[in-house]
Amino acid sequence: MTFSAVMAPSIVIRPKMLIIDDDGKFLAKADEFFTDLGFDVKTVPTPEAAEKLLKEGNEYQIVLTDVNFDRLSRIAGHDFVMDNPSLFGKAKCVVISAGEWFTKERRQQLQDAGISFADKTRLESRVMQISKEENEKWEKDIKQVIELETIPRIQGMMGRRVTVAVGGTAAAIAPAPAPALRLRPSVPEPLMVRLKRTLIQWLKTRGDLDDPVFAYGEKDYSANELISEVETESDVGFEHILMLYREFEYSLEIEAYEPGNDEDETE
Amino acid sequence: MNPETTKTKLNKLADVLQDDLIVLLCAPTHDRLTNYTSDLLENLPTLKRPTNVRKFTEPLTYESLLQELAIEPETDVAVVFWGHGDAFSLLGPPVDPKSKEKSRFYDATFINSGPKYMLAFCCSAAVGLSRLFDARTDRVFIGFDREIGFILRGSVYAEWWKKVVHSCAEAMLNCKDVEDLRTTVQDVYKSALSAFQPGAKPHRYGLLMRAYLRGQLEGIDFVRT
Repeated sequence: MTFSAVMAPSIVIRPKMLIIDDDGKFLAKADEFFTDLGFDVKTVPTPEAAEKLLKEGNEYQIVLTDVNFDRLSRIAGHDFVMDNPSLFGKAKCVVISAGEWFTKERRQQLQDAGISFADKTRLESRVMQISKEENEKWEKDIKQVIELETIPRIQGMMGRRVTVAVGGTAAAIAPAPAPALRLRPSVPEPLMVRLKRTLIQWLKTRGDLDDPVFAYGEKDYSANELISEVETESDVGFEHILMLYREFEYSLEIEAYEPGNDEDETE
Repeated sequence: MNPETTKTKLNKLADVLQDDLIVLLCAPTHDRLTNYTSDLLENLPTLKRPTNVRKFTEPLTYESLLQELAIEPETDVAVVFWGHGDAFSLLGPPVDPKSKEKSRFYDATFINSGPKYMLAFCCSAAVGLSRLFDARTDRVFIGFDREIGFILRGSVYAEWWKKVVHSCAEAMLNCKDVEDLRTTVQDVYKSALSAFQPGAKPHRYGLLMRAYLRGQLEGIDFVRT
C-alpha cells in the first residue's frame, strides 16, 4: 500500500460535457470516447431536450451540438447556442458540422460570440484544444469551491481526511501534468520533519552540491536546489519526500518475504 | 546529417532488410535534460531496423520530419521520443529562445499520420496521448502517466537509462501482446532496481535512482490495439 493510500482516500471530479446530436451512432461513439478521456458525458438528441436539461441545472463545462437535426427538430444547433447565451452560462459551446458550410458572416458571428466549430472528423483534437484553455479557468474556480465547501462536507460524512484531484483522468485536458491541483495527503508533523531531515542529510552527502545531477519533471536540480525544494515542501520537494517513504516501504520487502524461505530457519 | 543522405541510407537499409518499418529516434536538444537524453539516444544499441536519429535544436514537428525524410504514408513508423512531454504533447525546443513555452513535436493533430509505434519516454504523455492511440487500430504506445525523474551524472546511470529505453523500444517492436510487452518492460526495470539495491555495490545516487526507476515502473502505461 502506498503512503498516500494509507493517509487518505482519493476522489476524482470529472468535467461535465453535454452532447446534442440526433445521430445515435455518433452519440454512442462520442460518449464512449469522451468518457474514456475522463469527461462525465450526457447526451440528448435535440436542442429542446438540451434546453429542458439545462434549465434543470447547468453544470457543464463543454456543450457540443450538431447543426442539423432533420425531422427531430427545426432548430439549428448554431442558432440554439447563439440565441440562448444565458442558458449555457460559462459552458464552452462547440458546433459540430458534418459537411455543412457556414457563410463567412455566420462564422464571424459565432466566433464573436465565443462559439467554436469543428468538423466531426476533427472533433476530438478541437475539443482537446478548447478543453486545455477552458480547463485552466475552470480549475481555478472549482478549486476554491472544493477547498472551502466540498472537502469539509465529505470529511464530515466520512469522518476522515480525503484528497481530491480536480480533473483526474480528465486532467488529460489540463496543460500541466495531472498532479498540478492534487491536494496533498496530510502527513503527521513529526513524520514529515523526520522524512525531510533524512532526505536533506542524504542530499548533503552527495559530493558537489551545486552540480545539476537530478532531473524531475520539467527541470533539473542540483543537490542544493533539491534541498531547497524539500525544505519549502514545494510540489517537487513533496514528491521526493514521498519517494523516500516509498523506498523505506520497499526496503521492508513485505511482498517478497516468504516464511520458511529465510536463513533464520536454517540456524 | 544531410536529409538526402539520410533518405538514401534509410531506403538502402529498408531494401536490405526488406522491411517496411522505419524507426525514428527523436531527440530534442535544448536544455540539460535533453542534452543528456539526446546523447544517450544517439548512442542507443541497434534496434535491427532501419533507424534514423534526429537531434533537433529548433522546433520540429512529426509531420515535417516525415517530409524531411521522404517517408511514404504507407510506411510503418516507430517513434522513440526522449525529452519533455505533457498530457497531450511531446515537446521540443522553445518556439522563441527567450520564452519558456516549448514547441510541440507531436500532439493530437498528428494522430492520423501515425506513427504505428510510439515510445514516449517523457513526462505524462500516457495521461492523454495514449488514449488517442487506444482509439485507433493497429497501434502500440508506451508512455508514463506522471512526471518522471533521471540521474544525469555517472556512466553507470547512463548505461542503465540506455538499457531501459532500448529494452522498451525492442519490446514495443517485437512483443506479440500487451501482457508480453508489460512483462518484458517490467523485467528490465526490476533488473535496474536490483543493480542499485542498497546491498549491492554502493552508488552515490542509488537512493534516488531507485526512486526514479520505481516511479517510472509504477507510471508506465501500455497500449496495443
